[in-house]
Amino acid sequence: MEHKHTKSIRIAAVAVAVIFVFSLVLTAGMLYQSKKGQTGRVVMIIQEGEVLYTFDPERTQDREIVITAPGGGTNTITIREGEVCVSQADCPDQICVKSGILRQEGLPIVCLPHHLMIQFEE
Amino acid sequence: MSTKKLTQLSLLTAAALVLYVIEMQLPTLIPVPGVKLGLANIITVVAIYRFRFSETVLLVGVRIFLGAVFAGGMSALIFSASGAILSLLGMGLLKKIIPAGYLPLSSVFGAILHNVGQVGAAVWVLKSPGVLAYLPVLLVSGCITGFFTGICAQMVQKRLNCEKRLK
Repeated sequence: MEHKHTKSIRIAAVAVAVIFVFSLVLTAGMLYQSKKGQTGRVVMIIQEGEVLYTFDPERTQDREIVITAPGGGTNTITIREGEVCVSQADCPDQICVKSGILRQEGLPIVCLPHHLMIQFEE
Repeated sequence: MSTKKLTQLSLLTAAALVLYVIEMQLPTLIPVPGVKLGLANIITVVAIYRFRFSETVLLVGVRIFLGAVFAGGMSALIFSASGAILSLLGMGLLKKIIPAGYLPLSSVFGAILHNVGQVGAAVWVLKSPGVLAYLPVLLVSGCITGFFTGICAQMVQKRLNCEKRLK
């Protein structure tokens, strides 16, 4: 019994290690890609699967877009000098604001409480 | 359910809730939705090995609901719930394979499944697969925080067992 346990523990530990290393490689790859960057791509503002806005930030005049969540609450999206960020939000966690400027190839900006996502077109 | 067990479960639920509320007060170091320490899961891991599965589900269910009432807001409920369901099922099954002396291992599995559940819920709520890009980052952080909470759970378990011996 003892022997059987150690074997299954070892399998479990290896499984964890594989998942960890695989995710680490994927994350590193994503960060590396996001540094390279490309220009002339389209940004989408998506709420619950519905595309509310699409625009090329490089060719968009500086402006602010206020988005109201279906359950109440707002996010203010600022486009300035070709860069996009959430400048203000009344969600509890403020993660969308802290995410900063939307990076190409990087992670999309997400406001889970307001079911909102801002990403570059795939 | 005996009064003793009810009391034990209530105490652990309260402890988990306190941990949850304390964690909400900590500043977010990494602004990625879903990345967090998950201190309350220390209690979940302990409970998995201490009580029956249904009792643990009860404990976690009450903690998540009250946590949302006190601090998280109802919008966070669906993400924590979907993560919890997956991780509870996984840890409940793994209990048969991983003995009580290896809580960090079980906890890491719980964290991984929690992240998968969370991202799944996010895809469902946002109705777009773009959030899947978050899964690798969440898994890396989940493995690390899961290991940490697992170590804490091991220490809590040791102390609870001490209590038993004293009686």
